[in-house]
Amino acid sequence: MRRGLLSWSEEEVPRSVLDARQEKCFAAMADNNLDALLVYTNFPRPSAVSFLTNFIPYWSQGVLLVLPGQMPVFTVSLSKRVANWIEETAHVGEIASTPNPGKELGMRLAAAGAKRVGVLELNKLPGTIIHNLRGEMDGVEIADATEMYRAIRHPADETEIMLSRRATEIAHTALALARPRGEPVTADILSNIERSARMQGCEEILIDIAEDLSASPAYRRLDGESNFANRYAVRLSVAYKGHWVRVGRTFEQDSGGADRAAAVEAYLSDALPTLCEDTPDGFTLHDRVLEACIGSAPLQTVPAPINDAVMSLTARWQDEAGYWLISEPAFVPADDGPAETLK
Amino acid sequence: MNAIHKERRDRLLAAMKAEEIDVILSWGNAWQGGYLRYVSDYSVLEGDGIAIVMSDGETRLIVEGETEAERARTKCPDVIVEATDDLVESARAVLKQMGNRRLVTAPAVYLPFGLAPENLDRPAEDGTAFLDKLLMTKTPAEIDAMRRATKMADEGYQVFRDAARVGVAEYELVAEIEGYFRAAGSPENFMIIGTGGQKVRGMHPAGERRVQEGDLVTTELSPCVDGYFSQICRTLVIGEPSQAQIDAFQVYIDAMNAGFSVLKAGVTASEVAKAENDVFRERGLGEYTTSEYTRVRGHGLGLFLDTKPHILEDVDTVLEDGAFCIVHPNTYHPEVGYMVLGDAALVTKDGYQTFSNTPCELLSTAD
Repeated sequence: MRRGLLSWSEEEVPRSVLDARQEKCFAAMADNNLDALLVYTNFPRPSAVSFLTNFIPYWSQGVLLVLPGQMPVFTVSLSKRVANWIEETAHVGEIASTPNPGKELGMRLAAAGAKRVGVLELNKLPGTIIHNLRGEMDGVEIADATEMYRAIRHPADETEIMLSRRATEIAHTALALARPRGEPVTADILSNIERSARMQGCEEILIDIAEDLSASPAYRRLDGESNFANRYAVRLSVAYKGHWVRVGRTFEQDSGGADRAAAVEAYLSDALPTLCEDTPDGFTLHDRVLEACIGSAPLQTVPAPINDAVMSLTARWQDEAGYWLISEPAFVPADDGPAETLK
Repeated sequence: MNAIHKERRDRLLAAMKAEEIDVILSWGNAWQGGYLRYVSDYSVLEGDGIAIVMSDGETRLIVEGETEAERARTKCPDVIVEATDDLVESARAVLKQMGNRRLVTAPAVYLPFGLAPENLDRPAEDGTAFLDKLLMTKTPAEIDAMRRATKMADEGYQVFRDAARVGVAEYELVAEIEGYFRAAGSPENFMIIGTGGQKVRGMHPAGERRVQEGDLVTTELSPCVDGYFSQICRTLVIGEPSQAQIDAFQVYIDAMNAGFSVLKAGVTASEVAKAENDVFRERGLGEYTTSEYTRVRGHGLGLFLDTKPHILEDVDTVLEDGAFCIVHPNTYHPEVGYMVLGDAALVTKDGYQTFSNTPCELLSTAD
């Protein structure tokens, strides 16, 4: 579940920003001949509803109903007792608590006279929602609206960039605790990282570790015992007010480690504008992954940089001692300009 | 393959053979992960996932994106892992290779639209009840994991109790607990919290409110060990409890004990809920057992935190020997605010067993 700080600060996310995003949505709906748009959310897939309303579910599921020119209606399978909390964190016109979102949506769409309804990521929506929705409406056309949503998701606005910077700052502050300090590295550092990020008010933190980079470049979820070799990596996926970034670094416990790490940091300063298209001196490329928020998932792998988007880069390089892993977010501006650090 | 999953998988394959099921397709994510974890031993962290298990045990896991696929390959080396950017199409492609073998899918209520029976070009049956039966009764290794998770919940509650002091923000309290659970090896925890007095009507995710003298601080802590969640619910008073708080809490103690007094293999969830609610009704507080004020009077525990059966008066599911559930008469009290009390228990033929050592009483930072 999401158990970090979930709140809405109108200083950080002004209503006007959410209104502007909803207006973009209305315009796209008109261009695509949609009478309504449905946007699904649960805590692993919160991002599209969060983009439009600020709301992040800590548990359960809901569907946002967007009708042209109206404040959205949020149908949610949380009890009415939670409605007050949702109201405090969501920029919506109405909250409809229901155990059967599909039926509720069907009734509302029928009342609105909707004939053509778009659904973000239609194929992934729980089938029972569509089934129950159709039970309330005859002849409604349901269309996938994934591409339409992707078209309005960027450019990133100032709010998104600012919150992503804050997430990056939280992640870097916490990750600094992973540096070796002359004693064997234990799971306690991971505990301290978790505590640090949450104390800074993050919404969520996921910790992945690659414990022995002389043997494998693979990250695994922190789960149970951990056993750190000389060269290891820690990657943090940190969310702040709905905005996710990945920050990861490699560390070495032996005496030369700090110098190698400093050299990589210097390289990163120079190479982040090109999203590390080349490699640091002494390394060859193992792989490079770019991620961005383009739908309901916080981060999805994308094949190439997206203009005007906050992206997270993960690069893995090899040298004679094994692998070296980094993850770092950046803002890619329009017109393929140089990417900007969020640090 | 670890021992607990081997035991679970042997049971799954035997049940598939008995029911003449050739293929199981199970969907899951970080929210609803129980079915997927049961068949594959993997808990998805980001995105959705689909496991396809053959009757000979061969297991394929399709997850969204290389980041998640890498985690899955590391955790489950015996499983064939595929990263995809189109979960539904990838699953359909695998199913195409299955010929006319008998396929069941689960869980029906969350299965993606693209994999709903009407959208598949082959027959598929609902396998939810089949997997529910396996999920609800625990094997010895599963019970051991639940016992360890309960112990961790106890220890976590002590950390929570120590950290709950005047001036601490709700999210800072959660930070302390999460730091503890990561150090203890628990990758996941379900936790909601309530702080304040008579106006507090429930628990919610952590906010920025700071704890004050006299507050009731309520929480459900639910750490996870080897994929299995246990839970503890307690109410803590910041400072000395008032007589009104003490008197009010007695209802919750009596209600929980009433629920436990009927708990044994063969009773229904309804009977347990009724025993709890009768205590409230007898004291003129019946209104506060309704959905206006509370959700459930307990629920199953296991690979999913809030699993079947829900302990409610309209749920006739029979609790079998080996079921694991929490009895928690959590609700709003009109005089003092929202209060919680609950312990997890293993259902046995003769009654039940709890593994928690945290006192079932109104706790106080003044103690």
